[in-house]
Amino acid sequence: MIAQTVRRPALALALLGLVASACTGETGAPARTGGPVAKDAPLPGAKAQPYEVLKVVLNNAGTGTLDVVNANHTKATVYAQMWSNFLVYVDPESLQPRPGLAKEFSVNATGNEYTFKLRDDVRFHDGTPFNAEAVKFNFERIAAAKVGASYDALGGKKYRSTAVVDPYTVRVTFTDPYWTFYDQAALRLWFDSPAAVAKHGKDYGTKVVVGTGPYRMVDWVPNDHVFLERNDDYKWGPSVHKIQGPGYARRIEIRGIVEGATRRATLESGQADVVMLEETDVPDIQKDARFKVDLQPKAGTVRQLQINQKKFPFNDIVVRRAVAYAIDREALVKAPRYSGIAQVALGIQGLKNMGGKWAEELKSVQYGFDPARARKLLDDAGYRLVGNVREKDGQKLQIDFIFPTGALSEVQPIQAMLADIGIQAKLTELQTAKWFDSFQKGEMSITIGSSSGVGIDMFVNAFLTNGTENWWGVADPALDAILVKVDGAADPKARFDASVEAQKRIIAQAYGLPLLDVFYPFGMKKSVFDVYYPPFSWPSFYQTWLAQ
Amino acid sequence: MGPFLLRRLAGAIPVLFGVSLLVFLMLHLIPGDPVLLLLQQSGEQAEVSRERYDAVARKYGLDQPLPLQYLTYVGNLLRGDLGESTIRSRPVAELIAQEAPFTAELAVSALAFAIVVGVLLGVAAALNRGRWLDTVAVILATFGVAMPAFWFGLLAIFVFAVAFGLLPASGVGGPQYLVLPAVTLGIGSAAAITRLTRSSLLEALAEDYVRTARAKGLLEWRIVAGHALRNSLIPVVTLMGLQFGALLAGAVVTETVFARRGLGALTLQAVTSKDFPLAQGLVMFIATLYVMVNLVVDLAYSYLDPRIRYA
Repeated sequence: MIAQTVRRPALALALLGLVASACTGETGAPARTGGPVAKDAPLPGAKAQPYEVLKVVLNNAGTGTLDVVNANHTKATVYAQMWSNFLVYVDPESLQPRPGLAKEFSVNATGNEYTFKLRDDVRFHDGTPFNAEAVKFNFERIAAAKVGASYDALGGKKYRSTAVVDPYTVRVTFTDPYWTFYDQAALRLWFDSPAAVAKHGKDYGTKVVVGTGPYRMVDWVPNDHVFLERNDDYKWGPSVHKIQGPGYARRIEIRGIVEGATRRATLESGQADVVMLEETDVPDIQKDARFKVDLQPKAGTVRQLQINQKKFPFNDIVVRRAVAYAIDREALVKAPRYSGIAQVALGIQGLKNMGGKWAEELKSVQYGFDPARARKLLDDAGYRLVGNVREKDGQKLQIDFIFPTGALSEVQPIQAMLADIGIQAKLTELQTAKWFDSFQKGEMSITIGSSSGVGIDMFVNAFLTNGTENWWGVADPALDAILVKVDGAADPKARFDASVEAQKRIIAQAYGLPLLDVFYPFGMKKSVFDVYYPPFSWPSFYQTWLAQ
Repeated sequence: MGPFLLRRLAGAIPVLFGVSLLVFLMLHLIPGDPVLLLLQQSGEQAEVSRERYDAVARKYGLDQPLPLQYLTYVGNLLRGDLGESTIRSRPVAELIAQEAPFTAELAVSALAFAIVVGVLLGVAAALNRGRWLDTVAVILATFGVAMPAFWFGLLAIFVFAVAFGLLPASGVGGPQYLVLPAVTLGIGSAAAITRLTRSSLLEALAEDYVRTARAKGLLEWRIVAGHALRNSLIPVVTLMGLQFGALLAGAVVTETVFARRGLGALTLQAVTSKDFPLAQGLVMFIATLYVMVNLVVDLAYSYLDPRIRYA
């Protein structure tokens, strides 16, 4: 469950209609709040109009390929929002699917057959038409790869086939119910021109990409930059955007800069219009009258402690709960790592995925910071303090706390909080890949992490007894009974309620301990307006304009 | 000169073979199955079929015995084939060729800055030994050697890009984009060259031939420029060769701080994404370059000091 990229951009959202729902109309899914996003009104007299160039700096430019089949990095999806399109888009406020390249869409009663009626006026940048054959071509290439983020989004082994019903209608079938297909289609499944794929062969994706989007890719240097130029023929923008025709910027230049201080400097020196900031830089930029900051809640699971219940001492619920009471999450928010740019997390899933109403429901199962109670729990269970460390039956409360590179400032305060109740945590920093391998093998006692993606079910496989990402030894039949409903119920409200219920139980049993809901901070000049944030948080600049 | 050149060239060949062996073994010395490692780098972390495993093993020649793999590797190297990047799906040689000009531009500028500043400051310090100019030069040199490049780079960005808006903070483009990175990369080398030039020139100025030249009534600047400085430059040239390696290594940090394209940024990417073919190719390329630069340094010795040529 823990990863740093959009790995298996999870399933679910309470989106779909009960049975055979058409695309129009709201369902019973709870509304969500977008988090503390800066809202600045344009200056008097300023209006959206075409302009020359928008300069954007992100924390990296991504690497590898942009071909939908093999693209496994988050930035590929960020760029695809501009040079390509999706069949459907998910409204970031209501979390409902909206038309994209498909003008109508529906799912059958058993959730395994989706029908998309496509727009007939869409053309790829190379002039070839986008139609049912193009959808089939792309989906079958993805399915043939058998690995990768797009393959997972297409349902993985669940995917059966794509049938061309007529030139502008396709039917996608799965072996089992796949209720969250719209979410994944709106996140990962963009479209490459079949003619361009054939023409460019191995260069496709690494040197050339041809899509249907409002911008054409004109230069892509992995790990460095992406330059896009406006597609003046564009007229099929999805309704989730404020415009449907060509974008305002003639050119969008996106650069990747790993070093946070340099990113900030590009904004302050005027070299960039929009910059992804480090949390520590946010307070200064917020104070600067030239800039504003959008704090975009990170889509995915929250920063959390993952606890290995197969090993002493966390095989004992008392110790897990004591840890929960020992951690001052308010203090973690204010600690230098986040500098106040985070919120105390109430559930395993983040704000962006679930919404504000859900957060209220989970308040009843929060532990709160109460070290005295933590000490008492341990005392009552026979964990006696010997020197600075507790022990029981000759076994000391000494734990291996592993964490990935860069998280030291996050885990040090936690180490101190655990020491305060007599638990000695030995910190081990591992290179990210090694860390990932290590906790998959269950070598550690505890770790910290989060994952990126959309949906209300991202945590399911980490806590299901036989879940593919359950490396922590969670085995709880009562929890399993709830978790299967998160993915399997036809009623979106039932899935949503199951997700909430499951998270309540996870917290009550202290299988995992939510710490912080974090934000992606985007600093920008005050003259920048209408940056669009989809459900997966990373922005699109299609509709962005600069007040002159 | 010819036999000397041939001897030096012959000496470089075993070094390059040694490097190629170490680079080749990189993939095999890492714990775990190299085929699975390559599959993981390509993003294939899910269960892998036998067919897929065999196909990847065949593609990279990993189904062959190790000595045969090495011979194939060397054969490919001699043909200029450094393999294919697992992350970027492009030939490694092509990626190096794309990025090398950016690093060459940076390294040459930094070296030029280091040589000009280092030699001038070193000479000025030596000729003004014990005076304020000498003290200033020594302090600057100590500061330059001690200062981490990433810190100096960030400071330079803050002062020249953010506070005064004189130069761009990052990226590549015209000469204005090169100033801060070149100075950042070159300042450590400039400091080292300053110190060595100063001490070497002081030593040369104490030699008998300098006293003889003075006794002959030669002008001081001719004694320094025509006699002492030339002789004092031999260790400095050695240092320049060594500094070239330091500049290539320093390019990783400098290119990251200034978000420049180049071999440094490519190396960082190869290492962080565990792209072994790319990392191997880069190490091989940089090592070869380093050997070549040392060869040039050796040749420069023979020009500066004929005794070496005829030894």
